[in-house]
Amino acid sequence: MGKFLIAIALIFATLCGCSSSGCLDNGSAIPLAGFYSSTTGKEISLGNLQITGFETDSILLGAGSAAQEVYLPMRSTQTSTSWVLTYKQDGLEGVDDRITFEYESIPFFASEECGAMYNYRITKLDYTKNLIDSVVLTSDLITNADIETIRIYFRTAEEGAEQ
Amino acid sequence: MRCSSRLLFLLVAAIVAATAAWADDVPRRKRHITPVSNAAAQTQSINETRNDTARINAARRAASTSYMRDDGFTVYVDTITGEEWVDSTNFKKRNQMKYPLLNGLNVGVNLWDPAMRLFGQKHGLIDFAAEIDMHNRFFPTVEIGLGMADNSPSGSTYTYKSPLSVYAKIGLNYNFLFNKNPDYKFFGGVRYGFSPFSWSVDGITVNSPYWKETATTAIPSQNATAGWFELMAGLRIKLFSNISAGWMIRFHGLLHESKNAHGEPWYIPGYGARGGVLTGSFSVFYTLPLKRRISMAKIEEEIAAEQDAQ
Repeated sequence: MGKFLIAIALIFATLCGCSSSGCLDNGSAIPLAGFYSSTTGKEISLGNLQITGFETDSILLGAGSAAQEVYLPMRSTQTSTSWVLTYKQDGLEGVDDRITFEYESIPFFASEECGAMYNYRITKLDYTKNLIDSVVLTSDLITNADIETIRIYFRTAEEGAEQ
Repeated sequence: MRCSSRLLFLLVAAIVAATAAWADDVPRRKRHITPVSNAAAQTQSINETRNDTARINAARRAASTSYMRDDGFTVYVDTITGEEWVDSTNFKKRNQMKYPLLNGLNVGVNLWDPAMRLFGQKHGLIDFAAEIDMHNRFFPTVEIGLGMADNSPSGSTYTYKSPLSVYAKIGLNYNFLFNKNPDYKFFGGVRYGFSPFSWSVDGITVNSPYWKETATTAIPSQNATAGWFELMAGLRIKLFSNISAGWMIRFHGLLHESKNAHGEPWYIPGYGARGGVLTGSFSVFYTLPLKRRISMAKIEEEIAAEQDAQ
């Protein structure tokens, strides 16, 4: 009987360790966009790219710091969000690209720890093609999961070269 | 003598002579000689097998008659000595239960959630249980309860609500101390629970620091169902009279639940808050005796009497 009680105690002690706590994902649904080369299809790092929201002066990503990915927060009070990508490089003055997402906002309860938020189901995707080759959605549903859901493919001069 | 008579005489003589000659050619059979019988030859096999009990018993059974007793057992009778014995091959294994099949009916109330709410728990209400005591060993159990939730975690921007909903559990407890003093029980158990309920989230505030915007929204009432299992262990002791109390630690996991585009409910009535795998219960029971318990001494007397009869 003693061994049995010890076994029961060990089982429950083990099971106690299975409890989940804390928010392991984001506290809100923010799409993560990665930068890729259209030539190689591989991830690239950009140091001369500036990203701002359309009709704002607030800089989301400043040029001068190399980045391979960026979070692009959606406007929770609107049904579309546009981003302007400006290239700070000699010979590319005045050249920029614009990406626009249209979406449906869905109230979503994630968990007690992560809370409630909007999920965004993207219904339309538009973008210009100055230096952008294509934009690909890996999922049309943007949640608080910390995963890459947008891939931006840039036209690169040659394999492995930065813009 | 005429000629024909002579010929007939010669023919008969020839036949007799031929028959005699054939008879001389057949080998004669040997004569059988019966050995002389003596006392040693007659008793030799008896002496060699006199200690072979199997042979002896077989011989005795062969010389016995038998009859069927009222309880269904065959009784063999030795016709020489008059001794009787029972055919033990038909003996059934004796029931080892010391308490009757219907030993009692227990009804109880689980005070875990009311107590935890006093310490700040934001969900749960109360549940009741009924169980049948079978041999003090098996306890088929039904639990019916009411659950609700109203939770606004500190630092959060929402209020989770689940109105009063009913849930039910069905299962079995097993008392490992079934042949011991029934005032003390050590249980292991299993349950299946199910609940139809609804939930909603109010006051959802979504801030977007970059866009300097704040949106407020809500998830209206959502209907849902969920089913889960529980594995449990615990103790129960008699307090006084027909009142007993005990606790159980319950490990649980969801088996199935309805899907919803607005997310998964945080609280499921009867299951508790999502995320934790352990919960508990503390219940007080009242026992309704279904049948007078048989005393231990009487049971032991019956066993001894039966063994003597065999």
